This record gives sequence, C-alpha cells and structure tokens, in this order.
Amino acid sequence: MSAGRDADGDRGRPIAGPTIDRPTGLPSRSAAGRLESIVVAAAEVLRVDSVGAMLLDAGGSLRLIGASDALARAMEDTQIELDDGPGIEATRTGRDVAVADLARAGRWRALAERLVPIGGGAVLSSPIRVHDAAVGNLNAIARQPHRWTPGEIRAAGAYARMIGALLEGSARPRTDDPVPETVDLEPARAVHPTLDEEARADRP
Amino acid sequence: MRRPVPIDPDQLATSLRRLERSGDDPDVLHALGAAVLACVEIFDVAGCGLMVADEHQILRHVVSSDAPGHALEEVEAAHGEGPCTDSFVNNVVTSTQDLASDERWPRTASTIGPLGVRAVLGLPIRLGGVPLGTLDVYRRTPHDWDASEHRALRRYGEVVEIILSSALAAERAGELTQQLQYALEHRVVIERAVGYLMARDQLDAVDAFNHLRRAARARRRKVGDVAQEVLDEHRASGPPTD
Repeated sequence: MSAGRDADGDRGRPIAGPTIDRPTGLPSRSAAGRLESIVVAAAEVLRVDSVGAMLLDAGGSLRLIGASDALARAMEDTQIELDDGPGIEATRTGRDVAVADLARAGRWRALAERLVPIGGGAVLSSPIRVHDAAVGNLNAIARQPHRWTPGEIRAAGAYARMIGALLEGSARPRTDDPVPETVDLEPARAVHPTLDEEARADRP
Repeated sequence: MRRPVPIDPDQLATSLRRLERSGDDPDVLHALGAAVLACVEIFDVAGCGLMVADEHQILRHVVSSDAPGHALEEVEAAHGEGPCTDSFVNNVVTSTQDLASDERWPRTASTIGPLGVRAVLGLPIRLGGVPLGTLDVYRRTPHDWDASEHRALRRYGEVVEIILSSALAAERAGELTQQLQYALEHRVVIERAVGYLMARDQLDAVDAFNHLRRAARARRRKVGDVAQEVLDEHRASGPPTD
C-alpha cells in the first residue's frame, strides 16, 4: 500500500532532528493581521489563482481586508471604486455570485474592462455573514474563464463561513482586545440596514 | 457533483459546550468548530478533527465534525499509536491510503476500522514552530492523498494555527489555553529526552515518546518533568562535554 510519512516542506522539523534551545517566539498578530493571513491562505486552500476579501467598515463602506496577490487587490479595489461587481452583489444579496467569464459578463462591463487585461478570467464571490447578516465577501479568482463547480462553490462558501465565525467573536465588545475598524460591524449594520434586509429577503 | 457531507451537528455542539464550560474563550471555540466543518466541505472528506496535547503529551480531542472522527482521536489517545500520533511526535504530515490494511498501527486500525475510517491524513498543528497538536481528516473509502491535497491541507493547518493563536491572545484560563501553554513551554525538553532515549535504547520516536509517557504516568508526574529528569540524569552520568 502506498502510505507513509510525508515530506512536510520547510515548516516542520522531525523530533529526532537538531534541537533548538527554546521555542521560537509566537508571532504577535492583531485580530486584523490574523484575518488578513487567513484571507491570503485561502488561495492555496481553495486551489484557485487569487483570493481577496472585503468587509463593511464602521461607516458602512466596503473595505479591503486581505488579498493574496496584486490581481486580487486590483479586483477588490476596483469593485470598491466602482461600487459594483460580483463581490458587492454577494454582500448586498447574501448569495453566492459565480462569474464564469468576466470578459463576457455584460453585467459588470466596467469591472471587466479594468480586470480582464490584467488576468481576471472568472470570479466566485461568497458572502461573509456575521450573526446571519451579510457583512462582506470573499472573492476567488481564476486567471482563465472557468465554470465554477458546485463543489468549488460550496468550498468557497465554507471558507467564508469560517471567516464569519471568526468575526462573530471579534465583533463582540471586548476591553482587552481592541477590535480593528474593519471588523467593527454593529455600526455598519446600523448605517446600512438595507443590506441586512435585502440579504434576509433573498435567503430561502 | 460531490456527495452530501455527513456532519454530526450534535457531536460538534457537545464538543463546544464541554470546552466552553472549561473556561476557554467561546469565540475561539466557535471559530474552531466552524473551521473543522469548513474543512469537511473544502476537502470533500468524511470528517475532520482537531487534537491538542495535554500535560501528559496525550493528544486530546478539542473539536471534531462527526462521531467517527472523534472516535479516531479517542482510540489514538488510548493506544498511543496512529497517523495523528505519528504526525504529532515526528512533527510531519502523516497519511495512510487505507488504515484497514496499514501495518503500522494495528491496534488503532482494528478498533476504528469498523466505524468506517479508512483513508486518514494527520498534520501537525504548531505555534511558533512548536507542535502542539494535530488536525486530522478521514475518508470512508481508501484514498491516495495527492500532492495538491497535501499542500492545501498544510495551508489549512496554518489557518487553524492562526485561530488557535487567538486562544493564547485572549488569555483566558481555560483547558485549551492551559494545554497550549504547557505544550509550548515543555515541548523542547521533551524532544531532547526523546532524542536521547532513541539513541540510548535504539527506539523510534513514537516508542521513545510513549516510554516517557508511561514513565510519567507510573510516577504520577508530568511528561515534561520526567523528560527533564532523564536529561539531568544523562548529564550527571555522562562524560564531560569539553
């Protein structure tokens, strides 16, 4: 049978190997830093070319919280600038938005004009929900046109739900762990109640 | 089209309630629960679980997506053998295409096989480079874990590590946090003692590790303390180093 102890890249160190004097220090990460790292990791976990994510800020505007590369950053920045795109749509409706060929998606022509020349082929946007309200989106990007499979859509949605679960903790008032502005969600919902209402209305 | 994913919500809820009662940060536990469920969906596996070593260096179940996944963890803890144990002790990803026909862990295989746990992959979960536990996934049919799955799962393990680091950042004196802190403080001395026992007694790492654990249990001591004693005795009896 083909089983074995597997190579573990450069992360690991066998127990019998050279020892170190003490554990290396834990990286000091803020809640926002942890969130950004989780968004960046999504590209490799979901096995797509790029991933970015946006969240509503305290003023009710979507803001970038993480991007795995320049393409993902451009995708998020352009959607924010245009106030339009599959990610914005996913946040407004609380539903997944799958775009198989951005160049042929007339619905987001302005976005396509900016993104297709730099490698935006297909986009899959999954809403990020906190306490059952859509407060942002996770965008998976393929550099070539790609018909997203049901399995890929479920996987991206599951990753977005995990981010939402993390945010549910961050959104609670705490005195010992200041919440970064981008995850201060209660004021955002107060400013944009229609976002919640639309999301709930569309939910089966 | 993928087959429906069998998730046992009662199992997950029970795990989370137990840990929340222990005083751990409910936000972190909530996120870990979501992480194991997401893992099942993302990797199309039958189950996923997270274990963290306790003060006796026994991997203890923290959260799992379903009952067989939980059982796998309990069985490994009882027998001191299995893919997750190897992953934790050796600090490398360890997989099996089919646990039922794998000769490395016969006791675990015979106990867990009837529950439908076949292909298993365990990966070490580390904080600051120190292995503190494992994330494990399983399938109900034999499966050859390919390089793409390995890469993606290792990356997902890093996501779980980020979430776990939140438990320490929250500084709540819960069971999980105490386990993480103890493992961080004592892993290096345990590794050194294991390395010494491997050389002295010609053992592999897991046997040396279990030797330490048995000694600690017999003396009602913590593994970290016994490991330090082993090293101290070695230093006292050995020749001058310079």
